[in-house]
Amino acid sequence: MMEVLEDRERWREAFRRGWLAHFEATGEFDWSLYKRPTNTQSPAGPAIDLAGAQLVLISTAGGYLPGEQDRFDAADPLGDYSIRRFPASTGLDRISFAHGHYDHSAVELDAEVLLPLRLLEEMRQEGRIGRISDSVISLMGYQPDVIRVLDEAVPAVVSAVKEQRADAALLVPS
Amino acid sequence: MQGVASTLTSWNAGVTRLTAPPRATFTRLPRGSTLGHPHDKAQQRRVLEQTLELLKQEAPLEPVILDER
Repeated sequence: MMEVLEDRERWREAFRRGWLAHFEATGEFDWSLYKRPTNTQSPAGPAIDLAGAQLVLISTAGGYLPGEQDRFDAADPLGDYSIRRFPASTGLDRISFAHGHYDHSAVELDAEVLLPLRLLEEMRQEGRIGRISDSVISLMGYQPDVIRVLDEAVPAVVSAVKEQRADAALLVPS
Repeated sequence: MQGVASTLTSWNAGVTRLTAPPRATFTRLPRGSTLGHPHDKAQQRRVLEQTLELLKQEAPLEPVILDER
């Protein structure tokens, strides 16, 4: 089976000795020391007919339901690797965004720029998407430790996708 | 996510390309406006449709550059 990240151990060592060591020594970020996760091969997969398929939306905008769910820990310099789930039918005005690493002015004007719930529903009503999964899977995309992404966030996302029996996933990063 | 076809759209082609996603569209939209500008429903819909359209093809695909900014 293809690994989500090729050469995981090399990435871990580069992170620990570079960006993380600098942060722990100084309390400051030096992104020139950060090794971007890199793959050489893309996963293969069959084509699907979306009109007969179920689509799940995965967002890394930090969306959550205030009053019902804990907000993401946007202030943690080492990131937050947990997920939230909320109904795809949720009114956009009920969703807040906790993410300290992008300008929220656009999403506060129009949440569809990152969370296209109404547009996807429109396409479903037109018959272009068979079904939208009941739950949106939401993460806060500031996750500098890729090992924690692989060990914490990815299994939680995969479990949520499989539980909903989605055929296809749309990822919208922030 | 074996068995689940995936697609994405990103304003950050440089970093996203490194991860070798199976299907992707890339734009020049600003960070925080991944699908389009606020209240520009036509643009958001174009980006969304073109990104979902990739699911009709076997992966992996070369990323598709969209002229959206």
